[in-house]
Amino acid sequence: MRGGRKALLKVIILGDSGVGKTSLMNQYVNNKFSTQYKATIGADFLTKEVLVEERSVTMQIWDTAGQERFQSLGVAFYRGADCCALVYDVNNVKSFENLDSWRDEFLLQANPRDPENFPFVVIGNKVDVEESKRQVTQKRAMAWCQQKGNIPYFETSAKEGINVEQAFFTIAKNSLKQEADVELYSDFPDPIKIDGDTSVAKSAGCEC
Amino acid sequence: MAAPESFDVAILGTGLTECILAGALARAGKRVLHLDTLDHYGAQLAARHAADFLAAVAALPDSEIGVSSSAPQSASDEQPVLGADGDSEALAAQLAAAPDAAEWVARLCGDAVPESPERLREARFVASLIARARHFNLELVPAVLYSRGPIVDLLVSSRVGPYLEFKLLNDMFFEWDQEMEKVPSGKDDIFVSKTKDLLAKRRLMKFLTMALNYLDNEHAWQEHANRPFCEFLAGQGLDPKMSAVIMHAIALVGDADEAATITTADGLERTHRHLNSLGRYGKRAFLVGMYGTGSELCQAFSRYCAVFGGLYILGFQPDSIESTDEGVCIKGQDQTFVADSLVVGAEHAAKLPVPVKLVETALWRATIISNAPVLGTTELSMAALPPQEGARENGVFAIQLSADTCTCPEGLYTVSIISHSSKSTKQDLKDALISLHAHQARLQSASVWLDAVYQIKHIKPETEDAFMDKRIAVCSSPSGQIVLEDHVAEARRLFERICPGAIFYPEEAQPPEDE
Repeated sequence: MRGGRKALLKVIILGDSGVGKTSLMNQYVNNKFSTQYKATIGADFLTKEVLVEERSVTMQIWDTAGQERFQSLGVAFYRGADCCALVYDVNNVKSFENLDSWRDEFLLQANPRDPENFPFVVIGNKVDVEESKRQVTQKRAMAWCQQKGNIPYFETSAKEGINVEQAFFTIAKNSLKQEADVELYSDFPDPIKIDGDTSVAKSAGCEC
Repeated sequence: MAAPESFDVAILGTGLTECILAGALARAGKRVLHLDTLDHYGAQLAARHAADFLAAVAALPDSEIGVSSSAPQSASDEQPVLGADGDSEALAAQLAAAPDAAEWVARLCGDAVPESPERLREARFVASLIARARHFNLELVPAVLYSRGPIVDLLVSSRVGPYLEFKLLNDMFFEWDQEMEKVPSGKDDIFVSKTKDLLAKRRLMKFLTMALNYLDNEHAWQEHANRPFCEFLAGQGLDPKMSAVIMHAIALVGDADEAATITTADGLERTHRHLNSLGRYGKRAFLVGMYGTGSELCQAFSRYCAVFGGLYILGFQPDSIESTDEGVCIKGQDQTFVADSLVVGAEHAAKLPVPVKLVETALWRATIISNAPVLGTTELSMAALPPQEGARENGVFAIQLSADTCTCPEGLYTVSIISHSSKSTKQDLKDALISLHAHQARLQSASVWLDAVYQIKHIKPETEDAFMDKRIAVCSSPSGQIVLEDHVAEARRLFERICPGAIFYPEEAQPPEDE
């Protein structure tokens, strides 16, 4: 795991149920959007290859799989995250107010080495909904991000595909920075992965 | 109160059988509700931070926690102990920086300002553990997996494996005549070792080769199949030491009664299971999970269940569980759930509205946290300490983990000591600690350590049929064995009762594509 060999980034997406976490992932990775909301079933993680600063990177984006509904995400879900995207619905003030507790929960559970500088990205989703329904102003959201250590902020529409690409590109770029710092600490041999299908493991460990 | 939500199966408790079952049911299309009263996964198998671990041990009846150290032989032997060197002012600074450390220092080292360098060092060691508490993942019930065994096979076929990361235990030791020796892991090891004569080596090779393919070599053991394995081993011309290595370190039979009675067929099966696991992921047979074995497995199977639509509620306190004509009705926290079947972990059996028949055993265990390795290597490793005349009647196993598995911060080591026998006493475990620290002292001139000795209850249904009535079943807490493999068979039995004819974890399960 040395010399920048690890080109697999784990990104987790947190936020209240129904803010569009799964839709954002699907829009970004598959360019697909479903208007029918159903609590997440079947979403595990999606992977996408991205080119960041001339480096090919595999982003592995983890869905909460619905376990966030009753705050029942286990600590294992948070482990080894290279970036955390905090998502709220701009038309739902409660989902914005809960960002604080999602951020705290992440820092508590993921226990990153350098919590002050851990790369978060905040996404205000569903900006396609008519303006009169909007409950959280851009100004308010940006003030919160600034106060939490200048977290990059994006307003997106998973439905229309607005700004989704940009948000995830920033996620990839910032995760890569984080990941470069962490690598220096690893004194131990790579862990063993047990998988029937090895497509993910290959990009994680067998490229050189 | 909201209208009741209905499910095919409700499961209360997130132990390993429950989680494997939950994943299988969700995969088979059942609507699964999975609850736990605790706010974390894994029940008894949970991995804990240092302060939580110590608090959990302290809360167990008759448990003991102590801190000790061995003095350096000379000034030049003095080795820096991470966060444990310095004077009493340094200790005061440490305690000021981590207020909850003061409580544990007072509890384990006394209230007085430590006078001697040893006591000071011990106090600083405790303070440093608590200050870094969040960098520990300590298990009350640690376990290992066979590289080729039911759990790893299931991780491969179900695709749950990619959620997890493992490490191989790189060394295996065996205590004999108060020495720690390496258990040979293959032909090379056997012939390199200088302690055995050539004839003995050949006999051992012959036995191991036969045991690896014991089903093809039935002629070699068939007539002994139901007779004691120990007699069969003696008949192979193996000396007492090699027989003991096979029985305890390879077949993992630690219990003296079991060693005397296990049949040749069963003994060979267990020998085979170990030998067959060699070489799959490296030279040795056993895997341990990063961050904890059992708790990570529970979370991985739970996630798999959630991906297939299972609903998870941790920290759910049921007010009542009733069996009605429509199903089992679970009420709590202003919600009502109805399920056709209910499966509960043994620790929740008292909440059931039906009489339950359970068997309870209590096993003594111990954990060492030290600044120095205990088993003669800094690597992840395991040791078998067989019964010893005049000392312990039953064998124990020891697993040494480190920062390599994120069990503790760098520079520290943990050793978990496990007895398979309910006859092992607290004193047996304390004696095992003494012998392990004696081995440690031979390798390390100065060290400081914390020892915790505690007893864990293991509960299982009285009979293999876990159904207490037509809708309600109880599953076992961890068996107390060093391996967790039995949980797969138990989950499969429950699954087959609930979903007759359905496939338990069909191969190459692909999460459904979002259309």
